[in-house]
Amino acid sequence: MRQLLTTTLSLTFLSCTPHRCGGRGEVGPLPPPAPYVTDDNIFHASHGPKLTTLQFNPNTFSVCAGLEVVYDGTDYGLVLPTTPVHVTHNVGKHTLEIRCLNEESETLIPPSTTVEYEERITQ
Amino acid sequence: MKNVSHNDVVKSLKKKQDKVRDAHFKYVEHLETEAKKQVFIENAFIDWKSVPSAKVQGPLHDLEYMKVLALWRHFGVQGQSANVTVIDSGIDFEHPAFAHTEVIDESFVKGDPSTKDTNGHGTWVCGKIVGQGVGIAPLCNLTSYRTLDANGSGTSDASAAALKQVLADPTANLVNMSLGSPYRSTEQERFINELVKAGVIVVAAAGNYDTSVPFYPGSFESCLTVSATNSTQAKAYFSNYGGQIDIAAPGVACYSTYLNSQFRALSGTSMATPIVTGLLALGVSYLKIV
Repeated sequence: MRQLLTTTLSLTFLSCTPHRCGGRGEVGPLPPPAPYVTDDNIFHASHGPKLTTLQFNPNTFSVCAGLEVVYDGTDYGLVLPTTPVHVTHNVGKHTLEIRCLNEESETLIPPSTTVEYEERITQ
Repeated sequence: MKNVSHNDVVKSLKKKQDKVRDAHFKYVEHLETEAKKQVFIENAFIDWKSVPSAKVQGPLHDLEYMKVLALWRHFGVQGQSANVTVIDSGIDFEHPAFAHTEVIDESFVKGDPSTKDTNGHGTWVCGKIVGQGVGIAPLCNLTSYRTLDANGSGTSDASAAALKQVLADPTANLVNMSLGSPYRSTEQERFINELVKAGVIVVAAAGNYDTSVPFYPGSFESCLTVSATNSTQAKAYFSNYGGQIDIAAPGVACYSTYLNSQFRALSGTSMATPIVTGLLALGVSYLKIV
């Protein structure tokens, strides 16, 4: 019997994005973060047999000159916000930390956006 | 205006770091729209000593140190159209950091036609040039010639054969050789000289023996020879030194790709060399496409 594999993502918003918290120099109380966001607000993940490709929402990270991407504790490095990042594909829970950098590669405030998502395969 | 040829530039690259900057300055001087290109060169070869050491920390410190993000954004290049050949222990092309690019590869290891890296050194070097996230010129075209085996050992004949193969490629721009030995190979020297005559820049490691004793190919006159600095911008304790050195680059605890989809911080003039190659790839890219 043919098995249908479906990959689903669920996202939990743990911290603010640079866009939501404002850019450099902005002060004052921050609006309460929405409890949930869709993945496309921060990133979109597409899955191949060996690799997962993370594409970041350029609008969300428009204040960032670059992003440093830490996926499941591994630093995948420095990319432009429009550049997709390929990571090893594993089914299960993942943590993605996105550090917003200025042109000097200094981390902007807020220091990072962290999302946790679970990739599940259902039959 | 004086017309400066590519060969003039390569000849000049034998000198010290300031001479390298001057050479590039002259190189772009004869091209149209000089001003922007001069700014590029000045940014690419920043005075490393002017960068506060406090910034040199974290896994990506060398990219931060070289202001790579600013170079990408200001000049709109990430190595596109630059053709770089790495002569090393091959490449683990299954690493996620290479998923965005197609690598041309060939083995020159006697009796071992596999091009896949089983040592780790070549994967690290290739990653520092073209690896997504860790490389300085992630969009350059990479050719990986495997001349070192799983133990990191190889023959000068294998390296010479790889150099000969580069010579047959009229589109080659840069060769990275993060390898060497105290023994001078006349065949290697001949091919390197021919490559330089043809306008290819051969970037070679100075060696890790804290000595000025010659180390080849880095001590060949035609090579652009790279020594390593530490986080205080001083000579790394292991780095070779002396008149053969043309330029220095960060070479302590630098972060790049490794076997089995991992990343690793390694030290050596082998690590400093692809940093210079990557920067030159950005320069080649800029001169070609902008």
